[in-house]
Amino acid sequence: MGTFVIGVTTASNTQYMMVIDDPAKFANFANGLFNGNLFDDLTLYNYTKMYNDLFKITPSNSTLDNEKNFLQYIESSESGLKVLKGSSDMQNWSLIELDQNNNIIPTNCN
Amino acid sequence: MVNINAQNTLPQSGDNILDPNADKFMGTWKWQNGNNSLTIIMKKENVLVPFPENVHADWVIGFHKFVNNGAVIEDSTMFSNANYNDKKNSIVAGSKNGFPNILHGGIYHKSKNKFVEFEIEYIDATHIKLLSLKNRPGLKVSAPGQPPFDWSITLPQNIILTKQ
Repeated sequence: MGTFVIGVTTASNTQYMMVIDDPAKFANFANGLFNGNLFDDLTLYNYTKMYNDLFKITPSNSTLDNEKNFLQYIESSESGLKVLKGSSDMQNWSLIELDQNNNIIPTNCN
Repeated sequence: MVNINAQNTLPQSGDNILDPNADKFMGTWKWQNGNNSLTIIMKKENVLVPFPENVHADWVIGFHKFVNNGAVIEDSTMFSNANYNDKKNSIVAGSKNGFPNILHGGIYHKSKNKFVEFEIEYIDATHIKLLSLKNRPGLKVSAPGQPPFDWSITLPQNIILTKQ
């Protein structure tokens, strides 16, 4: 796992961290979001539409559905990213991934 | 063919995800109030989406012209013949899941250097209402030498546009 980490806590009382698992894949993914040295806002918004409309990651979904859909999103976009989910006290973290049947498989990081 | 609002599964290779609810929003629409106006042009294309591989989907692209006090502030309508792959559109949209009379998406607020999110409601065949414009959620990152994120929105909202 890489050293860059970004975290979020949500209104659904969940907490996640995202890490770069495959730097080469991530670099390729990130390059696609730039036009020269600047963010390509249109491409970024096309990705937002994918997120909202095709992968259906929305506040009205259950937490479980959004987790599954988001994991699919970062996998099929070849982002090179992985997601960790924290316990409510943030003392325990698990890598969450999808198996072939689209079930979430947690792997404890501690 | 898969209807965007009728499926619960995520896109799979070979899918073509259709968005028939967006059709009624297509065309040229205009709001005017004195020397202020907003014109939007929207059209639907069936495109090869960025990912997963070999998935097509209906995609609403659009162009807009914003005039404030008689001055043209933003205008992409000269590119209205461009298509998705030309990347000249200033609007990306689609119908909202579960809300067939709402079109949602983003509009490039060029004078503020950002996309903002909008919701448009279908009223009738000749009227639509731009309900709201909002900043996108999430982190704002400015590259070195770039101005900080501008939170303000000067495009008009809560306005009714008429089909041209």
